Amino acid sequence: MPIQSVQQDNGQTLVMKVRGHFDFSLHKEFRQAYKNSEGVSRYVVDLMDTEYMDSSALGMLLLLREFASDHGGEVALRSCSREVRKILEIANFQRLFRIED
Amino acid sequence: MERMGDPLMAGSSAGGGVTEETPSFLVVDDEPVNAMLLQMILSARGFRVITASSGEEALARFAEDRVDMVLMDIMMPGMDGYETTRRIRAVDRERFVPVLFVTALTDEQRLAQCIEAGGDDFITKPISRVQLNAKIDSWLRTQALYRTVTAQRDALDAHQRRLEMEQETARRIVERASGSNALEVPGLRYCYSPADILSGDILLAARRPNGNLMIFLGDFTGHGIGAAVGVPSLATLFHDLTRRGSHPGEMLDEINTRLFAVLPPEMFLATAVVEVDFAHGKLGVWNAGMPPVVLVQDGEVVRRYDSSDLPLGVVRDQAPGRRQLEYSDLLPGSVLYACSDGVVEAAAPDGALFGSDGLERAVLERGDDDLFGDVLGALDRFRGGAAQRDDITLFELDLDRLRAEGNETGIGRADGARWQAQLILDATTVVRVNPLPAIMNFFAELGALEAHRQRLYVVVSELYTNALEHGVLGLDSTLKKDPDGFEEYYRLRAEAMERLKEGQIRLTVSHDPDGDRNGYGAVVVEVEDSGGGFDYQRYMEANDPGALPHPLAAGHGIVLVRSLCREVVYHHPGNRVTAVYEFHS
Repeated sequence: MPIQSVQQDNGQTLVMKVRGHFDFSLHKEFRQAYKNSEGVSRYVVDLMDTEYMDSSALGMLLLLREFASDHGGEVALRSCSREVRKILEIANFQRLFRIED
Repeated sequence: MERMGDPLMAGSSAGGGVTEETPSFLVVDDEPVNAMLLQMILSARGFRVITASSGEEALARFAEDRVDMVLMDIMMPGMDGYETTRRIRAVDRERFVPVLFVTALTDEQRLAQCIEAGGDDFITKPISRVQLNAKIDSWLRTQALYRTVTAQRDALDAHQRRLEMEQETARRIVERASGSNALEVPGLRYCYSPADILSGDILLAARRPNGNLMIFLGDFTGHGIGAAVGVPSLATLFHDLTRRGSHPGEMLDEINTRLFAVLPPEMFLATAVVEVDFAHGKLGVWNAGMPPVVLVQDGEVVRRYDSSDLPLGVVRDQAPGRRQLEYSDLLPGSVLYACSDGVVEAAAPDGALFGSDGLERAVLERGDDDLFGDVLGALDRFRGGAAQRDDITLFELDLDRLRAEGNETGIGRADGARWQAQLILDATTVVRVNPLPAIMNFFAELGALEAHRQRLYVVVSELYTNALEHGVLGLDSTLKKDPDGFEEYYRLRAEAMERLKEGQIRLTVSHDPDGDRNGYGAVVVEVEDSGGGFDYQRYMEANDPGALPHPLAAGHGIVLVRSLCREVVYHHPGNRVTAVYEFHS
């Protein structure tokens, strides 16, 4: 599975780990990973094993952000490689997401 | 996973040493009265007693019953007490059953004979109950002690055997992971002498896609199992990164990140990395925490690369990109030496250290053919019989020989290469095939840096996706701006794909070695689709993703591509686009 999700902190944090190519082919699975979550106040997308991402992945992140704010939560992007981070910065995503190590 | 019971635990719980059961005695005497007397005294204490009235019977009883101590008469018809004892001793090697002679003899020589036959003590007749009990108790204590020690010894032996077996398995895993056959590089000689079965030293060699040779010498803190566990994953990481074309600096950053994440705080990896760039005639060295790497030319040390950085895995990188190899021209007739600290920290009996000058002396004074024999010999003499305390790894790289025989540039020579690849995908193909992974592998094979690959991926992916989704499938991307629309968009996309009968995408990727103004290469990506084009000018006016009405709105991809490329040009009516990506940036 390219996306693995785990709930932590008594279910308050949902960590979604994306492996390999993060592109449109994951859109269903990615949405599935958070859509039915309950009681989550923090959504973390772990990009440690993300090899490449493109703008449809950025789109998916924005949808997650929208979902999170509707449900009173926040989104953080974790463990981006330098290059993925660069793509995020070009898109000015650091203004929209918390980017953590 | 635990496959065998722990022998140490097994030993103590079986209690081979401390017998909780009632001790049992074999009383051997041809005189029924004597036997009865002994039996009475022993039974009164709750001991179990078996009697035998001859040597022969005693042997039979001893064989069929597990007794803890034997009381033996000497003078018996048939087999006497001495002989019976010798035979008991011959069968009973492991358990230690004390044999106490019960005798009226006081002749010293006879008594000595008892001991020679394998007896342990004697009790004099007439029997005194107090003396008998005292001797028996004393021997039971000795026996218990003996059995405890034996059981512990056996447990330790079993443990040691298991440990050795496991270490041997681990050694083979580590050895295979290090890919020692990859070390068959012309001009490279090395020796490797672990202090234990397992070593925390690691020596790796691999080629980058552009043909450059990378050698990695590492030394995990400590030695033995703890130090060796990191070796296989490090080896895999090194080989992967090198094969993928990572720049050495990037590779070191990546390894540091991984090690920092997994190693306990007190552990780290001292490292020396060497890169030989055949095409440009350069030698690059980076040393972090290793003894000096030494370059020798015509019997003289011409350069020392001292440790210039923290070992890997010590700190989280604050500023990646700091780790850079020190490059210099490849000198003719030069040989490079590097070693782990097991060499320089070898200690003489008086505590003096071999030191890095010790290595240099050994290298300079060596005979022509047997470097390692000479250096290891010098080390042995220096240690003066003291045991090797740490793993020792040492390598020699004869750069002349390497250049003469090892210059395999292969297909990887991206520098200076001019190439073009074109894919023409018709309707049936675009439905079934995603060309991006193939193109990315191609860039990797050609030695494109990792940093560039992510950006090239975005460029090719965005342009190709636009051509497919808007040009060929005719989808409207404004749909994507809310969550339902996003799902809907991809549902429509799947439908359109299924229905697709006509259409074509022409994807051309080329490399121009003089493509950019600074003498670096450039990649030109051109994508043309069979669609009717679009109002590209509107998107070309937006310079900042923030300027678009919604981050999900159409054109976001184009803005991303423009920020990565030197130029992006749409050709009228918008179904053909050319993007120029510079390696310099």
